[in-house]
Amino acid sequence: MTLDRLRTGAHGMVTRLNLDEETLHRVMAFGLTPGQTFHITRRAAFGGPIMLEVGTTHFMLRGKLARQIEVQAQA
Amino acid sequence: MKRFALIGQPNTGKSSLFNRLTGLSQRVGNWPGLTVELAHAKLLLGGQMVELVDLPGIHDLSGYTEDEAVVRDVLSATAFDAQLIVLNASQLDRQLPLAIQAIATGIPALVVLNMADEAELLGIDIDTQQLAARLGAPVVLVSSKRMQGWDSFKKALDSLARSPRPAVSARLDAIADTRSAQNHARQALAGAWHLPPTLPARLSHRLDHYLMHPVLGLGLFVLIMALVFNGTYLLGGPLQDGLGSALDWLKNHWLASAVSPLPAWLQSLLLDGVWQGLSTVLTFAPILFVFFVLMALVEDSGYLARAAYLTDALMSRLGLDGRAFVMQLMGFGCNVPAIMGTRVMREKKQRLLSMLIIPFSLCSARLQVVVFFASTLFSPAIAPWVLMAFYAVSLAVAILTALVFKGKYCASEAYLMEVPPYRLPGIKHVLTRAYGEVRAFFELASTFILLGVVLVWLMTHIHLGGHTLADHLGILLAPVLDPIGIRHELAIALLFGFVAKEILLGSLAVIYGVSDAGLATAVVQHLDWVSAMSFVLFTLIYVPCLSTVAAIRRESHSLSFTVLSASWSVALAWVLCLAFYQITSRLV
Repeated sequence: MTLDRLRTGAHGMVTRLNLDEETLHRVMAFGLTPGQTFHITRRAAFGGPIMLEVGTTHFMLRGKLARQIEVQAQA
Repeated sequence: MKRFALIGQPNTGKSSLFNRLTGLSQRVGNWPGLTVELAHAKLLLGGQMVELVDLPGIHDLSGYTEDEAVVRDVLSATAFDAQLIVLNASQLDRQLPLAIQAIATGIPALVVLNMADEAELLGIDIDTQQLAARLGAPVVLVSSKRMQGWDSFKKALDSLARSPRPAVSARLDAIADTRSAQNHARQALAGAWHLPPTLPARLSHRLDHYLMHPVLGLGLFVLIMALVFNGTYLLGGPLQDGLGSALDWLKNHWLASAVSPLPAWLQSLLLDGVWQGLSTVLTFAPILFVFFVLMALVEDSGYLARAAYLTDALMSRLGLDGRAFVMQLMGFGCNVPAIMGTRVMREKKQRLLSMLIIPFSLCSARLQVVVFFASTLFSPAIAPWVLMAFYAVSLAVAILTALVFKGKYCASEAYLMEVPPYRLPGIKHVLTRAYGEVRAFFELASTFILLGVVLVWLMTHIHLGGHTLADHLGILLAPVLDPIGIRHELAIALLFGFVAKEILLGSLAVIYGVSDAGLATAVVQHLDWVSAMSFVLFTLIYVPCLSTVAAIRRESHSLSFTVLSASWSVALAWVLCLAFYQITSRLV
């Protein structure tokens, strides 16, 4: 499953990043590495960005990028 | 003199720490061999003069963004005596890898864990001694906002400055890749940095429930932007007018008599050329200052990130991010601060695309022209609709430009943006920043604007065969201007309008040989409404003003981009006016 498919409020864990080297660096710098857990806190209307909470950091990313991040839902 | 670098991630309070240390002594300037501007300042530490250089905020020293490359270039090309690595104490899990990479470069390091107050609120426990031992570099815990831990920070700085070690440049080959830096960081943090099992609910989350709400959030966004916008122009506008009148008074009461012994042409050059140019530039100061104070509040409070979140769905389709939307809105007051404000976007292509569309925002100076013509030529029932139509054109042209150029200036960086907790901005930091921005604008734009003003003076005052150079230009341009319904005498008004739209109506009165009060009658006599509207449409689109062009030149660091921006808008203005004039004049 990819990150964009998780519902708002869900918790998950990153399993795989299908990204080019450059994007991978950006994404990892925000703490999204395989094995990392996260929480989807909100999602903007009209296909807008997704808000993630990773540790104490909150950040947004676009749906297009979220589709390239494979995750596992967690309880 | 010793040299220290200040590095760190965005949103760590790095710049506010820099301001705290340096105050108004900082300068912004080009770094030798690079096209980037860096803030730097000299300060006395441990009896030594030290130059402190503020490097752009970065996430990863081995990353590929422009800022990351800039930091690597600066650190490897210049010898530094020390580096201060600023990290957010509550986000060490994510930020410590950067410190590990930076320490590996071999430049003596001091790790500054900032925002100690926030970490304390979250119940985070930090053992700085253990961390220092594991990193092999001193670690201090501070809050630059509350000056917490400041004494030990200053002591650490002093001892770095007194160190006899020679300055070194960074060894880039020693920088660990992201993954191994992250592993190293995890080991260093084990037992030295504790997050509580559940983080306390923060005020930010409750505020975001409203401010980031899909419906309510947009409403509040409109309200907040309206406040910032009106704040800028309600405060800045009267200050601008006041300064303008004061400068006029100086000119009439002092300068005019001071230059009266000079030959008439030189008097005119000094008064109508040089002085006019200087006052045009100076009157921007209040508005720029107020704008930068309010924008710093919006940015430092954390709201800008929310605004970007709310508007991203729309802006991403135009190839831009939400912050560009905020700047576009500000452009409706004045394009100059909006262009300079694009600096909040770190990615160069995104900035360039924003700078390309901001000049189409119908600013308050052009509004004067539109309102004058609309109320002169149309009945009170129709005039407001004409004004609305011009706002619609302004937006449509901006969107069209974004769509045309989004391929050329498409963002190369993945869009990830931190949404920091809400913070109370430090007033001193905000004022220092606004002062620095205004000064930087004057240092770089004043020559450019002065040259432009003097050029226009020459064009309108040098006579050749009974006509001024501007007349000749108007006649020369007749084949181009006739098809769009603009008579050649109006070309001179457009030339003045290029300097500043504020003087366009005045110059039109001079052209028709009437007083300002008689301009309305003269316009009705000389122009039919179709060519008058074509003239206003051209005025809206062709070039905002010399100061905006100067701001674009300064912010893009590129003459060719400036030329592209100006020629695209002139060409677009001509094509649209051609369509408007040819179609409308056949219909009526």
